[in-house]
Amino acid sequence: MKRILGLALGILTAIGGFLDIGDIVTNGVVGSRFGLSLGWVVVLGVIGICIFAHMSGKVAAVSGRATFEIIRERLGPRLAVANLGASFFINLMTVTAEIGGIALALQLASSVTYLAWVPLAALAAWLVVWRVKFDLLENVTGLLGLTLIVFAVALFLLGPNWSELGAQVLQHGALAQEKLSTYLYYAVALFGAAMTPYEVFFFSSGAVEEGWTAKDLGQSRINVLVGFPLGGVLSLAIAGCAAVVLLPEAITVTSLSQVALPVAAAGGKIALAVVIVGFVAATFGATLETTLSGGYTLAQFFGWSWGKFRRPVHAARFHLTMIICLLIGIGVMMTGVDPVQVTEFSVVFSAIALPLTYLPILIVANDPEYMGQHVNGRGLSAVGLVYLVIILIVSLAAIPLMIITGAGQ
Amino acid sequence: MSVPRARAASGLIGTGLVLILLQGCGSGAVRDTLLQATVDTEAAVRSGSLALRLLDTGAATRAVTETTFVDMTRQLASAQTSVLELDLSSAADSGLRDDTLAAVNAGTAAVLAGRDCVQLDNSCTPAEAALRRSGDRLAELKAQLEAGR
Repeated sequence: MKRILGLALGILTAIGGFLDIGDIVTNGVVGSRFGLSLGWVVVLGVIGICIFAHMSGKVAAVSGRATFEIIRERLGPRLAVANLGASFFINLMTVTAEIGGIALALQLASSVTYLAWVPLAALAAWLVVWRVKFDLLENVTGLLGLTLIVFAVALFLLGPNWSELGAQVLQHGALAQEKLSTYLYYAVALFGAAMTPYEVFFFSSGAVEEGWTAKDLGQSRINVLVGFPLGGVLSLAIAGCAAVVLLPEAITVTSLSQVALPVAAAGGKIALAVVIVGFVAATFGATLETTLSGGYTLAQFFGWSWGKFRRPVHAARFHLTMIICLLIGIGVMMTGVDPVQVTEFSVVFSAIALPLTYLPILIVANDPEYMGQHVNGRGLSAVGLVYLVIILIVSLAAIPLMIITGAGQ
Repeated sequence: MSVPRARAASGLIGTGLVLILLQGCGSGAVRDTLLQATVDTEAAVRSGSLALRLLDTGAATRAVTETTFVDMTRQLASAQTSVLELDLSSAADSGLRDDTLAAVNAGTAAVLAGRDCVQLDNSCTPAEAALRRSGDRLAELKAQLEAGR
């Protein structure tokens, strides 16, 4: 019974923890501009993150070492420094976007300007990473993030024309009023949002934090293969709600408040309250994950003592890194920069850096000397290679598409 | 990679970047900017209208409606700036620029009226009507700009 409960909890937290501000905003924007015609990218991204999260969890469970320790060992110090720089910068952008996301969600609840919430949100995040145990912070935010299921409920309550939505899914191209380049730009952004690198840093470091061994691989596989796809369904529901309510009204999403309007239209104030709780939980959970990922990447690269299973005094540089990440996040947000724009840029830059994260994971997971009997089979290895090619194409296309479209305009 | 090959590759990349950047110049770019400002303004106006309808039917809270208007005001300021800062490449575009600016200004006034009625707790019926009129005008202008692309 205890095992079943543990399994259910793992799946539920994987679903609830899947979405962050990048997923929420990008799916809202895409739904309002392209309907569900980019749904295939979400499916592609979810399969990709399942494959690589599974591999990174497997590597961590078998070797007891997290992603960035392996990156340094495999790429050598010079190349790994470039990797570290890019990954850390993008993670920092994501921390900033998530802090902005919490603040925007709290503004929706209170109508007090988001700038007033930014320092409080970051302070709360710091207190949690400082004081709260790893499994508690992961489970509570993951479970609260499940409230975003309200988007799926809202989609049904809206009573859409399902055949019309189905036709959008099968369209595979830009709608009449949009350019193909803009369609492709948002395909890259959605892919980056689904496969954002911090998820694997957090996943593999979390495996070490929780002391996974090869025995835990079965549960890890189920969490990933069931939880993440269901999280992907929530992404599609966000896009679906926007497609049903906002697209026909020519409302292109540029703010979090607009993403919430279809839920209010479907379920009234109660649904609105639930979705705001979901926004806060998802962005707060992602702030914790990205802040921890900032500490993990740097500490693992330089060989510092790290982990929440150690007391802060025994992992001082790890905790100091996280404090600095949060302070930079506050500083950037307090300049008045639009949090949604930071989010949009963070998912596109994530897409650019994807090969740096996923190549070393694939190399190690394919190495029989390292992985022993848990080495990737031929099938998984081939699928991983195909994904690496896709990731490379996405990465190379991201900057030209950003310039051509003026960042998706 | 040999030196001549590397040079050829960097030359190709440079040419590509220049072509990409050149795409941002000329009359087409002026129309694109005006169209973008129109699209953004229409989205802001219709968001305000939807938020007011939801507030009116009790489906949305005052805080969410107010936040929507604050967000839309920021979006309108950005649309207005993009039109004001536009350098025209031909005299023919000046009429379109003026039409767009007038429509953006009317949209801004309607959104501000909507924000005021929510913040001051007044009747929102006139603001809702103004938002609807402005949305229709912007949709016409958008169609005109798209046809001329």
